[in-house]
Amino acid sequence: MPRGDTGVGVAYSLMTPSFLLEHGKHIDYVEVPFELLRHDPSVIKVSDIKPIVLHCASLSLAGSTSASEDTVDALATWVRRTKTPWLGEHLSFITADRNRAGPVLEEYAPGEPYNIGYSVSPPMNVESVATVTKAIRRYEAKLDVPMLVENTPIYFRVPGSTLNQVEFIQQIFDSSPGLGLLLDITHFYITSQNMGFDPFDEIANLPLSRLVEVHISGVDLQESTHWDNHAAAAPSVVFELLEVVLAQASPRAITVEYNWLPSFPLDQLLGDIARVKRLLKRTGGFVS
Amino acid sequence: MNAAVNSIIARCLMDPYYLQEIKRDRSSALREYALDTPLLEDFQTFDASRCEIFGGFITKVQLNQLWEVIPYTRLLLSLSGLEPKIFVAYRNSAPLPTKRVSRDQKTALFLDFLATYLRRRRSERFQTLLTLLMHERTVWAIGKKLLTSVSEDRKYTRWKGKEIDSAVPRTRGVLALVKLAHDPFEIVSRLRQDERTVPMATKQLTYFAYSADPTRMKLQILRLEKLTWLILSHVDGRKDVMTILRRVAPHQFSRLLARDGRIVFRNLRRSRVIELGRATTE
Repeated sequence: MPRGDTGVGVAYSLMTPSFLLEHGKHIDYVEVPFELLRHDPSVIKVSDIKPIVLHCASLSLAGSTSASEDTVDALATWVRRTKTPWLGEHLSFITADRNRAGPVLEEYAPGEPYNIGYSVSPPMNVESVATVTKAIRRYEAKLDVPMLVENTPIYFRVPGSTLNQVEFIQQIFDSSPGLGLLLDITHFYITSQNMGFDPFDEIANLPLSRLVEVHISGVDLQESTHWDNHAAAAPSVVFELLEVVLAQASPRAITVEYNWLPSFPLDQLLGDIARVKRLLKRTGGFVS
Repeated sequence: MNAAVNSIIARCLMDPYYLQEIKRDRSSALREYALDTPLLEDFQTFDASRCEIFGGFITKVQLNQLWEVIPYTRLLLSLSGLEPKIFVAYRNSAPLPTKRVSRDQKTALFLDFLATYLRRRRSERFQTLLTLLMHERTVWAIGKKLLTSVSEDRKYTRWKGKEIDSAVPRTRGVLALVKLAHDPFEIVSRLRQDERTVPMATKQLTYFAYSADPTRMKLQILRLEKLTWLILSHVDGRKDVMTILRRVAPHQFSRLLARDGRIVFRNLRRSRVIELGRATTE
């Protein structure tokens, strides 16, 4: 992909409409979650001002239970309505089969899957590679746009894992030729700290030739664990990793995800957007 | 096997009783799943405590609106290292929702939980947090009430001298009276100066009135003398000035002069906290 196409965008939050009116010139697109559009279709109004890149957390790619046909149909509709150039989804599961929880069924929702309401990293092994690959084929056939998978932050080792996250991602990309990479650099950094590897050594082992979109956000350190935090600015190490990535790859988009706090300091947001653009220029790229 | 692993992880995140069982007796908790021996062995090193904190983290993210409602309480929770424990405790205590609740209801449920949690703990760091929480919760609740309150234009009456004794005070708009163990503004000010250090606050009982007038859509927070706070706590739109002063006086202010009380009422009216009307006969 030509470097000249690299756009810089923000993840949608309650502040986005007013941000677009006053500072829209600083960004190229807005990333919007499908779940938000489904809940509040009026959010699509941002597409009058900036293009939308659609993000998703409902497909449970690594799960044993599939997303419902209703959900997939709704997603396909929003893919068309937003004219998103691709669809990013997490490499995770969000629902799990409750029937496998043994003979004691949930009293109030017998047989219904557990709905965690958040992306969870699966056991990383060849079985999960096959599950994810099959799911990607299913959704690629239903959706009219390329799919990207995003690395999930890992907070604890899931039993049954025989691969590290980089190996897991490599194997999925080996078996999914049309798949693009959505590299969340903050997630990658968090995983490296929680799982004990050097992110600067490992990041080049990701399939960066298939990199399409990058995410950055903040990090918390609590209870000896690193946590994702979209209410804080990305630390310097995330920008250092971004620089390493940009020296080797040409993403189409870089999304600044500061969307958990509607009153996120504007100066910080604008400053980090400018910092991303400076990095793009320094590494030989062009801001679109 | 992955389906079973996903189910177990999901169950640990969704069912606090099961998670405790996993912590207490892992082999017994996993017996109902048909796991092979290597996986059973792998589960022996599963970090259930970190999984539990991850559950608290999910709850925290699902309550992101709290960043706006109680910003300094949250900052202090984070600085004190209490944030993960609080969200784990909340997740473990709250039943899974069986019906849709509004964002405000979710916020109120969490704030109630946090207030109870902090009240049960006597150490100073919890009490400082409780002061901040009560302050920020009151500001939030007043703002919500203000949106639904109706402003009424009442005829302004001038009360001369002792005539005021028969006036019936009513609160203007929305009023909350709060007694706090510290001054929340001192804590906020210290947090603003240094966002990385837990502030030491002076323990001193402080009386506040949070008053919002719908005609102005503006909140004012008044630091009150104890007498004024007590007088205001008796204002109900039915009792007249002298009745209120008599109610206040026998308890702690036996030497209270009616003259001081009248000044209090005039000042409160000037500050638009109350208005003074005539008694109505029903």
